[in-house]
Amino acid sequence: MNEEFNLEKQEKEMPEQGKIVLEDGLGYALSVERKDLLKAASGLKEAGFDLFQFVAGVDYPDSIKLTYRVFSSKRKNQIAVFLKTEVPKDDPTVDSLVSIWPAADWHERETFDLLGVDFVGHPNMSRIFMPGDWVGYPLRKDYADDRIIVMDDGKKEKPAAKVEKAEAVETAPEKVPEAHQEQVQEAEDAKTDS
Amino acid sequence: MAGRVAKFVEAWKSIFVGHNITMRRGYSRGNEVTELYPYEKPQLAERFRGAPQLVRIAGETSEKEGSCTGCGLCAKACPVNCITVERNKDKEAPLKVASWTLDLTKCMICGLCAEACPQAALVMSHDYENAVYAKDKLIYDMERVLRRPIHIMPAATTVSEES
Amino acid sequence: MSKLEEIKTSEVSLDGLGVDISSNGDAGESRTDIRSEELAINFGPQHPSAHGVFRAIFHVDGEVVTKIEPKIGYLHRCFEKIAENRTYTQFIPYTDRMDYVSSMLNNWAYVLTVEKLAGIEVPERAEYIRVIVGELQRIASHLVFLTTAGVETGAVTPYMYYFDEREQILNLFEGVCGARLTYNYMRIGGVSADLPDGWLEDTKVFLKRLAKTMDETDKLLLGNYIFKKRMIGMVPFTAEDALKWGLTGPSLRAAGVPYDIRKADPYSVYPRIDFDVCTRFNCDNYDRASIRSDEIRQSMRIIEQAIEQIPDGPVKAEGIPKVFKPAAGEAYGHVEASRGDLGFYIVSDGTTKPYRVKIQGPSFGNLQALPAMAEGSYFGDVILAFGTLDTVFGEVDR
Repeated sequence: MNEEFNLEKQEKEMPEQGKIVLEDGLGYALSVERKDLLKAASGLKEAGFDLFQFVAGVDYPDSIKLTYRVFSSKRKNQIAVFLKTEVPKDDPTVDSLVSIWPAADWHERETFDLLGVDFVGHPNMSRIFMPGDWVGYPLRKDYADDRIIVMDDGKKEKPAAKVEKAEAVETAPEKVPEAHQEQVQEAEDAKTDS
Repeated sequence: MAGRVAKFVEAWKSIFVGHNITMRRGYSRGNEVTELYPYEKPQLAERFRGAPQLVRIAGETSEKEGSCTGCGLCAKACPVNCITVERNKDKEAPLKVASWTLDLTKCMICGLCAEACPQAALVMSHDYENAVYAKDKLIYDMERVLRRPIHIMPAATTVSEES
Repeated sequence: MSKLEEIKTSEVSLDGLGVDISSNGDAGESRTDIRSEELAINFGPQHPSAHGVFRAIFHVDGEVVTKIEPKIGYLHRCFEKIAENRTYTQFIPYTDRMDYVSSMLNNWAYVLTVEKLAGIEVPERAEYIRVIVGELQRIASHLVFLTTAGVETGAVTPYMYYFDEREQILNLFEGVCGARLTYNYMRIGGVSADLPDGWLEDTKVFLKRLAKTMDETDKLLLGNYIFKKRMIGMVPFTAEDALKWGLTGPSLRAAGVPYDIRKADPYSVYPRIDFDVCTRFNCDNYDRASIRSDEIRQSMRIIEQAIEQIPDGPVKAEGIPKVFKPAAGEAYGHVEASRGDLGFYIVSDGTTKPYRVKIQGPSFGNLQALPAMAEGSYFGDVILAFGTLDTVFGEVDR
C-alpha cells in the first residue's frame, strides 16, 4: 500500500469504479452514477483513501451535485480524489458513506440539514445546525427568508440557466434612503416573491 | 522505592524551576504590560481601522460636504449595506454628495469602503470609543461624520500604489 | 438524612424498579447495595471550558464518561448562504469571522481558492507577506491553545506570558492591516497593503523575544510535573482511528500521520522554505498539547527564512478588474490552518457572486472525533481532550 498512486495503476486497482480524470481547479476527480456511489467509495477505500474530508452539495435547477473529497495518507505521494455524483431534485436520496468512512457522519448530516439530501443508511439523519423543527433547506436556491440581504449588483449578468437565483436577485429593490428601511423593503419583496 | 524518590525529586524540581522563572519575570524591569486604559490612551498604529469617516481638508473643501462626490462606490463595496449615499439631484451643480449615512450598528469596520473610494474622501478613522446609550445614535449622518475628530489614515489602496 | 439520601430514597420508592435498599443493612456484607445508574449531564451551551458555545450531553457512570452526544449549531450563521449573496471581495471579511482565533489563515484559504478559480498569478512579495503573516497567525493561535490547555489544568501563570507574546503579534498585525482580530488583510491577487517601514525588523525582534519566552514556558508548563501527570497517557487515540474519524492538523500529526498541507499539497512559497513536519505518536492529551509548542518553533523558522528571502515588488496582481467575474467553473483550495485542513470549494457561474461556497472547517471534523476519542475516559480528562482538540466554534458552526 505504501507506494505511489497514479492514474495508470488506478485502472488495475479499481477496475469497476470508473476512471479518475484530472479536472481543472480541482485535481483528480471520479464521477459516478448515484447507484454506483457506494461501490466507487469502497473501491477508493480499498485503494488507500482513508481520510474523508467533506461532502459539498451544489443546488442546480434540476439536480443536486454532490462532491466528496477523500485523501490517502498511506500513499507516498499524498493525493486526494474528488468523488462526484448527482441526485435528482424530486428524489434527493443517495447511499450514505458512513459505513465506509465514519467521518462522513456529521458532513452528511450537514448536507441533509442545509440542502435536503437524504443519505440512505445513515444512523442518525437529523438536522445538525438548524433547529430540529426548521422548515426548508437554506442552501437551496429557492429558499426564501426575510432576513437574507440580497446585494443589488450583478443582476444583469445572470445566465438563463439559473432562473431561480436570477429571479430572486431581480426583485431586490432600488436603494431607499434609510438603510434599515431598505432591509424591510427587501424582506417584503422576498415574501411576496415566494 | 527508587521510583518514588525519582518522582519526589522531579516534582520538587519542577516547582523550583517554575518559581525561578516566575520570580525572574516578576522582579525584572521592563516587563510591565498593563495599560491603565481609560486614563492612558493606547498607542494606535497608523493604519488602525476605526469607524469610517469622510475627510475634510481644511480650506479646500466646505465643511458641509467634504471631498465626497457621492459616486456611491463605497455603498456598493460594503458587504453589509451599512452606507447609504445620495447624490445632488441638481444637474447644474458640481458633483457633490447630498446625504451620506452610516449605520454603525451594522458596520463591521472591514475597510472595503475606504479602499473603493476613488477620491480618497472616505478613510477609516481612529475612533474606537463608539459606545452610546441609544441605538439610533449609531446612525451617523453627514454632519456627524464630518464633525468627528480627524485622524487621517492613508487609504490602503494609495499605500499599495506607492510601493 | 442528607439531601442526597433523601433524593435517592424518594427515587427508589417512586419508580419501584431500583434495587431494594431497605434490606441491605447487614454488616459484613460487601456493599453491592449502592445503587448506581447512568447519569446524563448537560454541558453547556455556555460553559467556561467549552471554548465557545458548545453543548454536549455526557452520559456518565460514576466518573467515567460512557457516551457523548455533541449538539452544535449555536453559532450557526450560514456563511455559505451569505457568500451566495456577496461579491467575491465582499466575502473576505466574513471569512475572518469563522475561525476568529486565526483569521489571517481563513482569509488566505479563501483568496487562494478564488485565485485558483480565476487563474490569477500572485506577485512574489505578496506570497512572502502571506507566509509571514500566516505563520505569525499560527503562532498566535497556538499560543491561545497553550494558554487554555494550561488554564484547564490549573496553570494560570503561563497564561500571562503566552498572552503577552500574542499581544505583540496583534500589535504587528495592527501595524500591517489596522485590525487586531478580524484582519481582512488578504485580497484577491495579493494583500491590501504593503508592509509598513521597519515592520520586518520589528518582527525579527519579536521572534528573538518569543524564542526566549518559549524556552521559559516550555519548562514552566510542558515540563511541569503536574501538567505531565495530568496529560501523559490520557485519552489516547490511534492513527488509524484518527484517520477514520477525520482528524486533521496538529491533532492528526500528534497521532503520527505526517499530513501537513504545506508539504503534501504545497502552495505559495512553502516549497522554497525549509521546515519539518512535527509528529508525535500517541495522540494523548500531552502529545496534542506539546506538538503545538514544536510547531511554534517551526513557524519561527519559516518566518526567519521568509524575511531573508522576501523580494521587493508589487503586493497585488495587476489587471484585476473592479467588477471581478471569474469564468464559470469550480475550484478547491486549502491551506494548513492552525487547526488543520481548511478548504474552500467554490463553484462559479460566471457572475460577480459565487454560485456556491463550501467551507471545510477543520474544527468541524476534529470535534466529530471527540465521542470516539473520549468515551470510556474520566470526565476531567474528557474536558482536557476537548480542549486539546482546539476547536473554535465559529468554525464548527460557520
